[in-house]
Amino acid sequence: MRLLIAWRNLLAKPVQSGLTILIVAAAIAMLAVVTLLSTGTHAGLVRATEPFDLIVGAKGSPNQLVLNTVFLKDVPIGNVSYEIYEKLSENPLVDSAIPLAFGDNYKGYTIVGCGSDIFFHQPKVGQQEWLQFAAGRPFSVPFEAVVGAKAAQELGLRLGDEFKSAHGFIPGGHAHDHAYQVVGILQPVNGPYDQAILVPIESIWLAHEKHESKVEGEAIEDSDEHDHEHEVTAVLVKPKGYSEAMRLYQQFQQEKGAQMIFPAQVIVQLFSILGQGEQMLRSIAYIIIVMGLIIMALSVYWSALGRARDRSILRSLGASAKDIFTVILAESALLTILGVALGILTGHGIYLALVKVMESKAAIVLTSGVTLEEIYIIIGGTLFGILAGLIPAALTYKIDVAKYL
Amino acid sequence: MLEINQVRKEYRDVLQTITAVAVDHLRIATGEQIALVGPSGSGKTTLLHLISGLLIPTTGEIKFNEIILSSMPETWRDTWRAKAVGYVFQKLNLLPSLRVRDNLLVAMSFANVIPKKEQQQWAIQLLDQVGVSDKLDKFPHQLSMGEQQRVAAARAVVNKPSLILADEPTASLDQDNGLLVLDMLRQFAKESGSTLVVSTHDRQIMNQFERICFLRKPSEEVSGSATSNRLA
Repeated sequence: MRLLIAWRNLLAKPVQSGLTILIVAAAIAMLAVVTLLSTGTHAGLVRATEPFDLIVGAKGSPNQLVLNTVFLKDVPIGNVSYEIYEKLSENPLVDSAIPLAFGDNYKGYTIVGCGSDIFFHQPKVGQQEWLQFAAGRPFSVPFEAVVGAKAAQELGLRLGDEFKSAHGFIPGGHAHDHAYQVVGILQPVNGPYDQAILVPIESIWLAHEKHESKVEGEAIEDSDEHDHEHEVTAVLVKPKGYSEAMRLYQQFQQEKGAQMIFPAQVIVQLFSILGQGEQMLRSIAYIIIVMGLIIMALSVYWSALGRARDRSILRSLGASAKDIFTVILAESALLTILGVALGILTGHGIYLALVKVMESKAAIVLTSGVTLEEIYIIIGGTLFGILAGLIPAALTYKIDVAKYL
Repeated sequence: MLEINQVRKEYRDVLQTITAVAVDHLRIATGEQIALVGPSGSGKTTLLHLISGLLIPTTGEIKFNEIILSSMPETWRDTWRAKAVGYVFQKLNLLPSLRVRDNLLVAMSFANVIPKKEQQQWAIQLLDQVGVSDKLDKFPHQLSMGEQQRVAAARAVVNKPSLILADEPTASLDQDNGLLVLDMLRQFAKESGSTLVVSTHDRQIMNQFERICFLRKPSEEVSGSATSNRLA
């Protein structure tokens, strides 16, 4: 019954109660979105790097190398010689080395030239292969293509379909003459490679040889840019173990024409930079929460002051001062619980919308669901709300009954 | 039996002490119905608050059925008031945020006299008796003043109290409604053997009571400590 009184008191002032709930909800939603984005992005990025123990690529920005190789974004730094790949594949510390070549696209979807051993690549020993087939088979000869799940769905590609790639990384580039035939479609990997089209690396070399011949025929000097022959953009290296990885990394520091990176490490560094912005957003959210709770406490306080007569009537009915205290506290608790619940729901709604955008724009699949930190926000927000409610309750539960009856 | 002995209620501020009410002696038998009469400022409302245990006297004692209310801890007085007292005020009696039915249920929730299972039915029965059974789910502001006061009367008796206090219950009502509410309270008190104390300055109302207690302004007292009350 005390809860009913508190609830009815809130309903009696719908605008005041509604605004208070909205303020608390806005603060909680902001914190929830920041937390979910942080956790989801981190998990999504880390998961995307899982198949990539080590990457070797041209010297330059490690971030660019990761963005290009792992996330299929940005342009490659440059190429490295095929000899580097060969040396790596013969290195006793290396379990497998897969050459990767970028440079073409089909309607904006990155074409990844690679060795066929990519289909046997296991991110971790004993795990199933990274790339699983939903239909078809791996490519076996040049100009066969295996299409990622999302690329196949969005491009409408099916087994047996043919398409022509274009030069460059964005749609509208010069089209290559030779058509690719789809021989396999992959299951989703929940990562950027869902948007990839995998082809034999030789196809890339052949396509570019023809492209360069054509360009030369048109008497355009651009030999540096198109000198792709027997070069690779990156090498995906799987060391035999952790210590081998470290030794390999040290060995590779001597290499002048290429760099070796741990993608996970690059992501962690990248995240620590992003983390500063995230921390700022969190701080703002905490400030808004504190402000929201102060406003809530004031709202309950003013509301309680305005209902002095009601409290006097309750006392005349036998309600104790403790009952009055409980009713006022219950009002704060209800406002907080509703605000927190609405905030969490709104936060998840905004987050889900952002997930869709991130998936389509950045090809990062963010994790969903309730995080541990979110549970802390729910419990902490509610507890602080109730604590804030103690102030108006303590200030108003004692009343001079005679004055109001 | 309600007994009031040498009771004074004083309020102190920086410059002076104000005596709100002073009663030398007053005895009201169980089941008796009395009218409490006096000019404005004589302390009728304060005396009712003292009897109900909402206030405690500065000096003196108030006993109800041998229980000394003035020496009971506050929480005990609250429980006693919930179970034993029914209170009707002049106006704005009802909790505006609660529906009519809930106004009665809330009073029952503090007293726990009526078994929980029977509370709904009892509330409806009482509201039917006072003629507002069609307004169960209305809010007080949707009722006329007369209807509100009838609901208040029903609420005052909902816990079957042994003491009913009514502070000018007819003052904000027209004559017909005023008499109707008073009849309800008197009828209930008669049937249940409850003691009824009604403060009023309405001659027509006070004439309905066999016993009238007059309360004078404390400042009018020569001694400053005694207020007489007499049987009419």
